[in-house]
Amino acid sequence: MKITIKWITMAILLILALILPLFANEFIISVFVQAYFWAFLALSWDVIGGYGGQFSLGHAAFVGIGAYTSTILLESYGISPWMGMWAAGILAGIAGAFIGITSLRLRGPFFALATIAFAELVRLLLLYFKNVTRGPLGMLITQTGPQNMIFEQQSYYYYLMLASMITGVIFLKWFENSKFGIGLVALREDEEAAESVGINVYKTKIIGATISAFLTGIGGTIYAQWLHYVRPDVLVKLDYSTQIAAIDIVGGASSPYGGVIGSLILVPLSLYLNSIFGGMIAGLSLILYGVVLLLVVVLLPSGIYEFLRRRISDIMAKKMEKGGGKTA
Amino acid sequence: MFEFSAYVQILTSYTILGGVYGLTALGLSLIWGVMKAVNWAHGDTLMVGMYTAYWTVTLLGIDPYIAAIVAFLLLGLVGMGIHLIAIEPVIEKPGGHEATLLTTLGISVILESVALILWSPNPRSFQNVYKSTYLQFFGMRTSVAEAIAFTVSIVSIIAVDQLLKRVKFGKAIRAVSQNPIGARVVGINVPRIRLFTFGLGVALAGMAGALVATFYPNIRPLAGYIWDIASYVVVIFAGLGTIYGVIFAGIIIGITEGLGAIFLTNAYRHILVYIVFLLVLLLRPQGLFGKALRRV
Amino acid sequence: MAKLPSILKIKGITKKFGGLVALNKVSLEVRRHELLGLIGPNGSGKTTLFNVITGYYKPEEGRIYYKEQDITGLRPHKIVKMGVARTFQIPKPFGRLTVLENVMSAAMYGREATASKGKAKSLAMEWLKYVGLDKKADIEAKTLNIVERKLMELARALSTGPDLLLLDELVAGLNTSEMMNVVELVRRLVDEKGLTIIMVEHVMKAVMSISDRVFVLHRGEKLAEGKPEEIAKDPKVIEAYLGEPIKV
Repeated sequence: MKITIKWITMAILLILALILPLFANEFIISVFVQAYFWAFLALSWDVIGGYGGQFSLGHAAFVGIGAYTSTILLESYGISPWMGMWAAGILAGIAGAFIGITSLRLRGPFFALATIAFAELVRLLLLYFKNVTRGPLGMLITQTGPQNMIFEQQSYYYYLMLASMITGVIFLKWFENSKFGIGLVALREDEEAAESVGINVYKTKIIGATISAFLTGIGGTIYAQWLHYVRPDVLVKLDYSTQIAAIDIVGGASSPYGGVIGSLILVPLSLYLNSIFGGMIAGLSLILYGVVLLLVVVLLPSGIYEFLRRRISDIMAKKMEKGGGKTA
Repeated sequence: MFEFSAYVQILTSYTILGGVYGLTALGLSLIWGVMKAVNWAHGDTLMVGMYTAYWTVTLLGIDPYIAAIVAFLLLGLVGMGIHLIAIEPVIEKPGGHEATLLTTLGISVILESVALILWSPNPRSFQNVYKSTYLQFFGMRTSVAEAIAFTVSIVSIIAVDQLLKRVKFGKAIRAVSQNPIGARVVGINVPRIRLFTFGLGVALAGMAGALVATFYPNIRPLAGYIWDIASYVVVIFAGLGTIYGVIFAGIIIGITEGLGAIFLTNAYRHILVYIVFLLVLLLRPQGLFGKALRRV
Repeated sequence: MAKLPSILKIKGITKKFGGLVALNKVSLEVRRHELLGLIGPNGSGKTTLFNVITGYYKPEEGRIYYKEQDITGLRPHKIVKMGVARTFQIPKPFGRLTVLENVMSAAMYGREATASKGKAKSLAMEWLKYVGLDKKADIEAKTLNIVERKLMELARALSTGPDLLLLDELVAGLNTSEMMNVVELVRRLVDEKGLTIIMVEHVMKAVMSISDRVFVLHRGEKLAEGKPEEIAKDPKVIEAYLGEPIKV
């Protein structure tokens, strides 16, 4: 019974998501485009940040690497982002492997700091190598047409981002039950015990970071196509890195749904507040961001998804009891 | 010849800056050492210290170094407030140390936003006699403000080290940092020690901010960021559990930044810092002066 | 007992921590299908020796041969894959994985390293039944009590498919009836499953009743080696244990 309710809920949500562009205005659609995009990034982050327990605060670097790779390929070599996104993922993945290597030696906040330094380095290098990246001015995407992942209407981006996000959810759903996923969680829980069952801790961490960065890099390509431009200070900043992590943690880390829930709550909230107060009081929406993060971590340390899941299963259990059904 | 002396001048300035990094890192190192908590809002409290100096000097017309004392006391209170909101509720829960990273991240975002709303994003600075008076030595020159900031940094680091070694309260801090359970058994009020340590750490950041404000032309809500990263780099570079290490690590980072300014131009000087930093992390993860970590 | 070929040869192992010599030129040979009791006072180097054999520590001197192959300095996961498994003195469960997943991870990554979840699951269930934890398969490992954690860790180690199993204080903290059950289980692993086991124990009754042979460490050095009844009477051993005669 519980399982059917779950599937029916999912089906309804999916249908709602699919028909939303039919009656929503451009602004609402663009809010969802961003919410799905951040959800996809949060899910990508979850691979190493949640399941792997390696707290990266440098994922904006992979967004930047991905966005720049496909944009340079498109603008300088005429290669479509539909192809370029794979190169973007691979390059970001290589950078991710480097982050993975630092995680072999650094724990918790020290790893987090190394990732920040890494992201800063990437931002500065993007500024520095002007010949390739055009420095602080960034690059405009001048190519057009669906074959170049550029669309006239928001709704196309909407479906593209939605598809990305759903792919992310399905991937994580598969991943968390895969051999590699179990190995990654095992080493998060206890590295020495993980070694004692035959898990190669080095390899697993590096591959985990690579997968996470690969996905994030692909996200970067799609984001660049939506923005129509790339610029170091826009893409690679600490705010973005922390936002990716915060969305996943508020929603619920180590879960295929946490990133989605976190993003669907936080992104519209901050965009909405920005649209109301943005002109008058810069920073007000950010305050709420900070307050929500603080409250969730203190009050619901496993995140919103886990909290909801437990509440629902409690309610279900109570109903079953009242109805005279047997309990587990 | 001119070029050479110009380089020496640059390196001198950055050495002095590096000494100040030592101070900005001190509070962070202290907090990490005692409670294994990360204060992600460290740079932002430093920024609040800058504004404290700015407003007390420009509105009340008092001496910037009295303002630094005001910043020390004020941020001490702010720090204890942050501790009660963001650290104490989570620190003893499972995964609590990681949670402090997030709660203080929330505090950081809140402080930055409040500063943006109250004081606008425009950079500010204030005139003072220390900034415009210069010291000359061996053909190099530095402002009195920077020289004082450097000196106060060194003195503060020594003072904190002595506090930990000689004063009863300091010994209690050390006891908590080395063995929290044992400290509790012998009757030390561990939560209170944590509260005061966090307060002290933030107070030092506030004072550092006020000192920096005397010569730094860029007092703005996001100014904490660059100092934040510098402080973290210094703490990690120095290694854990070393108070004196932060002086040397600070100066090394300062000189590296100076070399970056010479070879990569001013705008890109941090490239060298981050490369050196990442290399040190990979080759010597326990830091330059820290003890090696042991397994099992 | 008939003389069987050796499975593990430890030759002159020295391990230091700073100035402290944890193991000093320790040599030890373990024969196939043998149950070796490893005893000694606290801090005598038992766990250190385990950590050296399983690759967690690198010794300063000496070599370790497993089935005639030099495994000195290999990383722990490689040694596991060669068929040497261990448990930890303080159990290290993967807290947020279920009991079944804990044990499955060993089947998936251990010696056979099967990618098939079905296979891993049935193997894991088999060992969980063997140690009597099959009823708890689907709960999170962090909710287990200390006895269950130890048993789960035993099942996890067994799921890696070892020939040589190192048990670090498996029965410490158990009450007498639990202890007798576990001791019997360990003996059966040797007799029925053909494993070779080295067990570190403080509970003399447990070691002496089931070991084929006992090795005594004292301050990082070998103090004595022999049959349980010989060891129990050895004056050097009695002295090392604060003068108390050991009751068998």
